[in-house]
Amino acid sequence: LGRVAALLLPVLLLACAGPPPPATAALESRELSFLTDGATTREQAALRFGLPARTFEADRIVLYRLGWTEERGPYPLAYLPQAVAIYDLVLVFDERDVLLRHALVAK
Amino acid sequence: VTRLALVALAAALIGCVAIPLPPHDPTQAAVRWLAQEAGAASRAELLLRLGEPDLVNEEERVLVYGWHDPRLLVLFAGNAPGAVGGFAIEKEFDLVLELDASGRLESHEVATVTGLVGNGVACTTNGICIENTGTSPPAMASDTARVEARSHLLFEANAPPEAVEPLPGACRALFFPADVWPASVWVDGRLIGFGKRGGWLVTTLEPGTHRAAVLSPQPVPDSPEVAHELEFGCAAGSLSYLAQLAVGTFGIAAGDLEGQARPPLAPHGGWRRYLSVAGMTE
Repeated sequence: LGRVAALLLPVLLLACAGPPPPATAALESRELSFLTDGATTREQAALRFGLPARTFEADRIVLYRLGWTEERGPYPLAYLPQAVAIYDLVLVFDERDVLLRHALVAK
Repeated sequence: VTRLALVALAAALIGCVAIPLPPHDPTQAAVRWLAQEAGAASRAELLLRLGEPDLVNEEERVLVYGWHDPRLLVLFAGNAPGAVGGFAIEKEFDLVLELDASGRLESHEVATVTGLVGNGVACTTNGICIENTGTSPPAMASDTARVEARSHLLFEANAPPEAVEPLPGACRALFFPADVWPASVWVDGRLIGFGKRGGWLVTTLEPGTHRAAVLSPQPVPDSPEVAHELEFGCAAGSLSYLAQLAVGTFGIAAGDLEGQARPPLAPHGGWRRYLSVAGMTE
């Protein structure tokens, strides 16, 4: 019986997992609303998210891997090992280091 | 959950059970978009849609997105209480995107490794091969490569400051960002890098007045162990420090060295702390 209980325990834990992470649209409108195409600067993004996971085209395109917790919201995964979800935040800057386009991609 | 419970129960009763899972193609949505809408999408458009690739070649002309599709779930149980385990055998799919010289999508193809176990090499019809190592994490550019891509900047992450070769005819600034995340280091309004535990940043400066800043949205604890340290020197062939400065939470402390005047400081409000060092001449 103990073996049955041990096997059932992970199943039950899965069923009792915490609330699912918010959808990207909800996250963008609620907690990433400071990202505005045509207005947000590279410095503002760097101050919020720190070290990018990767950059392309000589830093014109910047990617961050974000985790999410209820306490902190979206946060760079490198600084959030207990994150429950992973998103990719993609930022494209123009030649003046102003945000041109951005997207949050659920992984 | 009910099905999983039944599987777990079966595993408990007979010791081990393997459950085949229905296959599906995890690349479907991406491939559909690539085939129907992407056209000759730019690199930025591809990244905005698909996120960070798992692999990128040096020229950024090959982007690879990997998926794992679990095909077989194996559960087992031992005799001892709590001796239980399980694993999934997965099939790997690699979506390979090729870009032309102008950075626009040229072709896309899904490469898969034959068989269930992910280890192996998958190649596209164009001859691009991806080595699948199964459990390896996504490849990431190293800090060294990323920062070295900027000119006039050296990033020394694996050598002590003494090992940094002096640069004749130029002043240098060594930055030891505190272990506060995320901390970025700026000189004359230019981002030169990010703080890294146990690492430091080196940049060359012309003689003159410079403004350096260590920026962090988190408060810096006001203790020497965690303060940002900046050292400036302007000697040919050897490094002579003009000032050693520490940035704390609520102000900037500067220590005078060998008769050098305390440099003028220009603290700003909030968590942004600036400092200036004047008269840096050989």
